[in-house]
Amino acid sequence: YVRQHGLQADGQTTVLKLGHSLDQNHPVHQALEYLAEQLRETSQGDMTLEIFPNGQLGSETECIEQLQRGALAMTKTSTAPLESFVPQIAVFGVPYAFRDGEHFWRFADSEAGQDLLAAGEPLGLRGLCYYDAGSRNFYTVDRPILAPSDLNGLKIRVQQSQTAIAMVEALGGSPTPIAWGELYSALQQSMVDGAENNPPSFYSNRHFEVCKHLTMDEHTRVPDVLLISAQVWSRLTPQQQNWLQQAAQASSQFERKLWAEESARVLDAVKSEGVTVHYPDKTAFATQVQAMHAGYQGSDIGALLQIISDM
Amino acid sequence: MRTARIMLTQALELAVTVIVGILVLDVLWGVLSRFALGRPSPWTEELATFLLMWVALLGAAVALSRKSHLGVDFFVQQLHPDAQRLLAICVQALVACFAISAMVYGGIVLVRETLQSGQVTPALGIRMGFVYLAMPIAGVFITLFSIEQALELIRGDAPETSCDVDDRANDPCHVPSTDAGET
Amino acid sequence: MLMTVRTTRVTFPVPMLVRPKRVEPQVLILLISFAVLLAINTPVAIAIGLCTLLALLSLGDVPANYVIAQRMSKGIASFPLLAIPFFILAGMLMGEGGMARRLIDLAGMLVGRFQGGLAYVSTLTCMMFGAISGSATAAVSSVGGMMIPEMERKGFSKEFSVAITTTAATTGLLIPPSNVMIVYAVVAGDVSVAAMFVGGILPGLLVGVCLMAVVWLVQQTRRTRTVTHHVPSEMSDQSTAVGLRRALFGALPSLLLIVIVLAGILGGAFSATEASAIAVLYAFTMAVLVYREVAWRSLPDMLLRTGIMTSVVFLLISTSQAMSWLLAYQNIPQNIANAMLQVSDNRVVILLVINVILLVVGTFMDMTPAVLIFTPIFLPIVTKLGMTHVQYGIVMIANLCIGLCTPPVGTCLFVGCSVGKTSIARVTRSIIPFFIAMLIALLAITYLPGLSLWLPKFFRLAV
Ligand code: NA
Ligand code: NA
Repeated sequence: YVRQHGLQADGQTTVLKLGHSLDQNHPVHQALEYLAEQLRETSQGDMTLEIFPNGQLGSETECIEQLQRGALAMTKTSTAPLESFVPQIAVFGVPYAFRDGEHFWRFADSEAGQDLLAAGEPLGLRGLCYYDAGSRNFYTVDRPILAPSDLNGLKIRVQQSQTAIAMVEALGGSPTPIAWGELYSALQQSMVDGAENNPPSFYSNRHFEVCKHLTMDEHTRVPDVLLISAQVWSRLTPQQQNWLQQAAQASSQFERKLWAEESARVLDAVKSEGVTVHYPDKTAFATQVQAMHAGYQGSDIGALLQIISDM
Repeated sequence: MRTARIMLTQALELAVTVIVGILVLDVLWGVLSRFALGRPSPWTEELATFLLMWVALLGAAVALSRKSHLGVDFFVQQLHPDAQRLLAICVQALVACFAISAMVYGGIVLVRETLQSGQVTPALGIRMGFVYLAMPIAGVFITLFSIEQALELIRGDAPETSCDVDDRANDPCHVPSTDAGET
Repeated sequence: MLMTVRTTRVTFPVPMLVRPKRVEPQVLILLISFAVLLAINTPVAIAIGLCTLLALLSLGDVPANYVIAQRMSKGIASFPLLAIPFFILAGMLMGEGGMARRLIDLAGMLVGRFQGGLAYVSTLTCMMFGAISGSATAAVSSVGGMMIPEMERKGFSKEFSVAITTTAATTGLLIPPSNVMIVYAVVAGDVSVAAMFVGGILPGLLVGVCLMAVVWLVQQTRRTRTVTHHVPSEMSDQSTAVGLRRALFGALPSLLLIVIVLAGILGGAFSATEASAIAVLYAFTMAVLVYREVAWRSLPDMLLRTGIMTSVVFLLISTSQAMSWLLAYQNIPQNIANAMLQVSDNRVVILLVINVILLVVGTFMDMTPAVLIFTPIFLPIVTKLGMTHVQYGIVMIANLCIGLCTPPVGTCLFVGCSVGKTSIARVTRSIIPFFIAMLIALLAITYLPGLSLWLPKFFRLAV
């Protein structure tokens, strides 16, 4: 008697449940809706995807755990919380690992990038595709960051991630971990001087109301990934696996376009809200984190950094 | 058995006391490190959330041994004392069932799987599986306490819900719960 | 819960819904087992956990024990929730040092001179004490313990005294700091505790004013007026200014706690959780070092009691997190939302329906479990109607405050009756005018968003 964890075979329809933490307006959510649509069409109703947005089924880390156990079929997560499970995926959090967006996708689409996506397989996490989450940039309440030295003494909110903490330290700022939900008021009340994220998040969380300077220093490119529970995957027929993989690939392409449009749109929007967008010389920032890169030598991440820079 | 229970309870109570104390100091240190030292401590928040998990789960066991958990005794009180006692025994059995299946068994699965996957916490870098140990440990205590209380009831000691509704505030077994800062 | 059964029944004939046939058995298992477990006096937290376990097992495709253990652990490992034990501890430190007596003195100097002054004093003291301690039951037992006999001596009926003390104490849950607001902010997800705290100020004061209006009305309709002025006895011979200054001086350290918390949060010095830790430090300094009313050796016991009180609330949060996972996984909130929006898409009607459901729930369920269970169910609906998360939280808490004072399960009412040595049945008659006042305040809070949102917006907090 084998329990069919995480997978509902409802008569003839296989229902896959997917939980994620973003809201319904986010490009990645829309890409997931697109994926669901594709899947329904190509499988002719044999497979359906049920999406649970807004963290209804738990935070990203919790959804990853549920995937491992097969309690949940799929999730979309940033690679940041995945670092706790697959250490080498922290390479995406290393500042200036990529020269630009095009360089990033060259790696993500390469064999090495796909190997990294598959690295969670032994832990029960099968990666299906990457989604663009653009570049992360600093934004500050009133002091613009034009050069790394401007970060000196600034309290910058970071995610609970050792790479993120190390990065802000390397650039001279004081990394301050704060819950995302409290960040707006923390910025408003000057508990921290700034934060870092991609422009669409800066916009959708209305941080632009408080932070009047956005510095497009593009320090990291931390993508989102689509994961499926390896247990659930193994119970799909090869035909179903194929449908899902195709649909995921198509949704990834779809999302990249959507993301580019959204990024351009929000940059205009925040400018019209009175935010000054700065485009500093990125090499000055990149030089500042050379020691951090050197520190990875001899590790898995160091090897990946080498592969990436050779691309 | 009573002595064993008293010793277990005392050990648990000591743990709860110490953890609450550490929690206060930990968060105050977080504030101090940001203000006085200008270097926000990256681990205080994570440590605090994990200690909170431990204190809440271990404390839940202590609260159970002190009969402090909130319940609805309105209907039960309309019944004959013997029926009340029978139901109180059933309730203890149900508590034990829940503790064994969800907290002990579910907790052990959770700890085992998390240790196997090698997940480490972002700030402190400790194995997440060890953090989850609070669940099965608290589950074991809750099971023991509820079995002990059920045996006491079977032996014929006073049923748990003997206090009159209007006397709740004066009853030592109710004040801590209703006073729990939640209402 | 009874109302929920009815609303889910409405959903079945509606064709638009997602697989209603699949939802039905789990909903039934959940509801029936929960009702039975509650009725036989299972601890509420365990009842929530057990009925969730049964419903998950009946799904068959989910590792039920694992999911519950994970949701239970992670659901309480949250930094904002940490403020709860800290506010409990701070309140305890302040409370053991005669805080109630000092607040009564201050309220007496402020409003004791009016016609029927003692009733106003009682209301105001309960508001202040509840505000600081964040616990309505603590306010009823400490303030009521002193004020109810005093009011009786001055010619008020016992039932009226209990009624006013009991209802006034609940305002402390709207006036910050408030632990139930923290619980709400966490289950609603990404809601700022600071915004909730600031948003609760005006609604809390409004409820207080409405209750005082009832006192005034009752005074007007009385045939024999209680001509009692209440000024603290030892101060009555002094001039008003001196007396007021002395009373203020005595009560100020307690009231300063609210100021420290709010100013700390709004001034940007610290987060709500850090503010609660600072409150502990402040209360400790006052109680142990300055007033020396709390001995060092009694500290471990206070830490332990804090831990136990915390875990009573946290076990509820813990199992409720498992239940809301199940609810979400089965699309139940979504289905209820769809069904309710099918019945009517009129904002006024739906908000009214939600309020009635919550009032019914509040009559027999304690506040924290009600917030934990019904937030995930109603939040999607009100969000669609354009209500912000902060306002809905305040509406919900204002609503459930009424339930704390209603039979059959009203924690505040129980404590009030026991302190006042009277029966629930007799108080219920006297308490009705106060319920009406609270209902009027609730309607205002529901339909006038500005009441809850004006202050947070003024301080530019995210609502
Ligand atoms: Na309060
Ligand atoms: Na009630």
